[in-house]
Amino acid sequence: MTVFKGILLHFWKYRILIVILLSAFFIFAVMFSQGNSSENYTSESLRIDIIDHSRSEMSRGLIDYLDENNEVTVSNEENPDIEALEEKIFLNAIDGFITIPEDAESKFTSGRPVVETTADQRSTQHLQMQTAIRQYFTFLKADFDTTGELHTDAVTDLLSDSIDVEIHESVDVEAQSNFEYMRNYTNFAGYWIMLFLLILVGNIMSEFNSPELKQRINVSPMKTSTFMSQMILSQIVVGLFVVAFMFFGALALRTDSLSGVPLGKMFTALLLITAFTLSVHYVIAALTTNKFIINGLANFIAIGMAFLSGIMIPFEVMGQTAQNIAQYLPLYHFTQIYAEPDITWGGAALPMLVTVLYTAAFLITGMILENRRKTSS
Amino acid sequence: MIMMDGVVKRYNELIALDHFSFNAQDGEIVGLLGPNGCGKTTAINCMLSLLSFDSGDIEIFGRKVDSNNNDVKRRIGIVPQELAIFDKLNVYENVDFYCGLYIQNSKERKKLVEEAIDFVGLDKYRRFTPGKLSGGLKRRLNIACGIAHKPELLFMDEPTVAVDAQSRNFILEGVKKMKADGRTVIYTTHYLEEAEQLCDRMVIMDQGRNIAQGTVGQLQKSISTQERVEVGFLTEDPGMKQRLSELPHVVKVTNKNDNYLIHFEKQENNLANLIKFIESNNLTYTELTSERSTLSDIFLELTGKELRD
Amino acid sequence: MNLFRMTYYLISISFKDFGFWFWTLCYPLLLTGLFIIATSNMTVGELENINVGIQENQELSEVIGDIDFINMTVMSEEEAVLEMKQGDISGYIHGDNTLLVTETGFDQTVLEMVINQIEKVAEAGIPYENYDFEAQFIEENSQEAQPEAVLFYSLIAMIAFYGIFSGIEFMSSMQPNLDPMGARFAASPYSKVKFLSASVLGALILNLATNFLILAVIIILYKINLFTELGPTLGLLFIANLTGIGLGLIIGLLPKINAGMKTTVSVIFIIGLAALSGLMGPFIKIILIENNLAWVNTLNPLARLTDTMYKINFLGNYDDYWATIGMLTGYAAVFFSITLLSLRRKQYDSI
Repeated sequence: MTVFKGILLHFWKYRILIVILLSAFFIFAVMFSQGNSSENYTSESLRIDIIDHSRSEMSRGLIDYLDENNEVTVSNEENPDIEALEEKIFLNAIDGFITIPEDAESKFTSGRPVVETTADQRSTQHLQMQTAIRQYFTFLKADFDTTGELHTDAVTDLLSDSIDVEIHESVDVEAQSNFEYMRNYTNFAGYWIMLFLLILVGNIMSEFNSPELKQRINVSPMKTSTFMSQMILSQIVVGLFVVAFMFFGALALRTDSLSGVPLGKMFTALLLITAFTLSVHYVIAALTTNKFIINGLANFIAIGMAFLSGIMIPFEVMGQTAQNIAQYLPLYHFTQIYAEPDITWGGAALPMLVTVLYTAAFLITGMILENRRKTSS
Repeated sequence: MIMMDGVVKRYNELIALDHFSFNAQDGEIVGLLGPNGCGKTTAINCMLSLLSFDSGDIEIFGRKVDSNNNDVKRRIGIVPQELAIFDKLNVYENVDFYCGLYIQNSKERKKLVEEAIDFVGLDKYRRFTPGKLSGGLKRRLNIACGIAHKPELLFMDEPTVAVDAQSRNFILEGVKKMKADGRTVIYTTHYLEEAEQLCDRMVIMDQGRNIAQGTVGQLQKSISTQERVEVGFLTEDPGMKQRLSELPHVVKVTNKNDNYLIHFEKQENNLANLIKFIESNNLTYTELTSERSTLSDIFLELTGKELRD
Repeated sequence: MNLFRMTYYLISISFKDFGFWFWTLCYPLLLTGLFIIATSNMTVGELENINVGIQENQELSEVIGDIDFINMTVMSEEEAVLEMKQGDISGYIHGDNTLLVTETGFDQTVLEMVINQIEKVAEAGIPYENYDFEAQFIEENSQEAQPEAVLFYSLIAMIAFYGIFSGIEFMSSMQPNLDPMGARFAASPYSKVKFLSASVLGALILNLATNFLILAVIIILYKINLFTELGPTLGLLFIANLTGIGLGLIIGLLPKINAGMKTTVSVIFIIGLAALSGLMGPFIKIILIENNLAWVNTLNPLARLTDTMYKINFLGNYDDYWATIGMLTGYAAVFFSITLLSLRRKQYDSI
């Protein structure tokens, strides 16, 4: 087991770097999959900033009403930074902002537009915000026209007591939100495992694959198959360590929120993507020992697959071309292994098979390239 | 030209130079000899003011070493032990780059670069990048980069390591030519033959100390073993070794293949005594050679270990 | 050797290096292509109507049918559940004005509000004729959300900092304690200031050339209009290049680590800074803002550059333009000063 130990010793030498990178990416992965978990149906809340110049009974009523179901930030500044708020919309950090002018009440009574909103008018969030504001003013105005007085509290109370929305009995909301968190986490973990292993294993193995060392190994009495199997075994050990760190790390974080999550499939998917990554590394290693190229390819392959497989940007919003390309990418099939909370092993079998086939295809390609390199040298 | 007096250089616990003293005169080739790790390169780096040292004095061209003294730097050239050339630049560009660190005038530099390339015999390879050159040719390029600006004082740190015989001879001839041009060369090596062939004077180093210095003759005189005689006889005699060791002035007798190697003390008529012994015992010898002690013997006697350890 | 000859040689060294071209040109171009494919359909052109299922003869049929942004289809509950799970409809109205859903979302929330409004009109006890459903209470402004544009600006910010590679390469090879070539350099009388100037000039020429090439591809070939304010953007990129080179120079100075390892660490470091500035999507930026960690990106030069680029080009906002220029210049000045001080260092303790 000389080669096995030798390679592991190399990894061990980089242990501090490995632990730092593992921890950094672990934090990234957790951030990536942030979301609120809930047990029942909840209205989708908007992130709204309100600039209240009016500070009137009416504006307070609007703010209270919107605050019931949304994340509202109120600012009373004289000269608010409108450009900063526009930037937030541009970045999707808020869904929109509302400006309530000083003379809001007189505008209201005289039937002129009362508030000013800014949002991306192409979005459903915009529609939701308009509907909510219009609803408040429609009721307030109807009441005002009837009674001649502003009953903001009454209107707020009336509207806040919303109808019941039923979630179909076949849907477990808690499981759904648990699942979504873990799905996002696993997606990112898949991307990161690819990047990390390709860079780490690539760089360390490039030392082992240097022509001078290869020559020594070739002339030694060790059989190529023994060398290869020990090399692969050591890489598998490293891969398993990384998968275990990411997977069990998430389990430890989410101990209480794991119901309805297809953990077995997620773990299998992570193992399969690790195997696939190692097979990709095998091809790269057969092509080059240049660390620049190894790092570049690792970066590009990992980030490219991650983008096109819906890990960085939701798959649904990508263009048709991108969606078509994704069908041919193993990382997409990796995400399909745990695509649904209630996916069966039968349902997961096809994407698993595709990932395995990709792994095999890369291994074979690697072997062909490796043999060609040997015969040519 | 160089005066180094009692220099001490420590790397934490390790003493790399232990009150090391050294000097070199104009136009000399001085060999710095010693096994790997004895402090040769450290001594050179201190002289070049690349390394700081803990105590002692170093003067070059009569001035204390100072990394900001560009007048002194301008008169010095170095050929480092490791190849210090750019992979991406070709032979001409490499020499021009390093020459350019010293020479501003482009016309003058062009002439000097051409001369240096000719000097190391790389004329045919001027457009080659180092990757396309053999190990020996790379070494020659390494030298060309250090000598192109015609330094008065040249430090050559093991310039012939891992070099084929042809390139080695080329390099050694080159160093001799430089001496003929009046340059001073400080030459470190652990190849004794090279030092014997090349150097006017030698300094033997071990564990950061200067353990002996002088010409080969002076060094030979400084040790007790002066002469070795190898003798072989037609007939074998188990008691012969004992009888030989009883001859006058013999230090010891060892076996060398089927022959005996007799180590004599410093004495005028050692060989005559041996011949007298052979004749008086009616022995027939198959081989009889006498050799003077080598640097290897000197080193062995001074340090108790082989130079190549 | 004069400054320009030295610059020429330094450029030659990088120019012939495949790694340099890969990182500064091939990699960003590949990423740009990738971003374009992935984000081509990201920003929806028009707001889509909400599809809803309704029970036959449900009392809200008439009112709901009149709402222009809702498409209503009559169906059974079983059909509705199936369609909801397939994502074809957002909710199902049945029974006593109940909304049945299978997931939470903005569409569902809008439906919830609409039904609520209809119910509350009846509940409020206000005469129906007093409701003015056509009244304009809102003056609407639009600010398009285009978070995916951040990807491109972040990518450009990243490549503007790729002068770091040349900086590392030049500086590492001139350190006696890192490279035997450094011993030659240090033992020579060549001016350190001149060498530093040549390194900066060389790295600047190389990196700006690759930056312009990438910008040209984005603008001319891909026809993406990211640079409405080209002049000021180029000014930013110029300063950012200097900052990147300065960073490379001080990383190059670090002892005991070879240039290859330094480059690898720098690649990861720059991608990390770029990720924080939005290379992987703006959500990381937003998370930082939401968790009161905005200072991370205030200090992150890549984030400052990214932000200022989209602000001036997309939002027409020049508020922090000069602050960013100042900050990047400040970083560069600090990096160059440290480098110069270190280069002037007299001797090394070990080589």
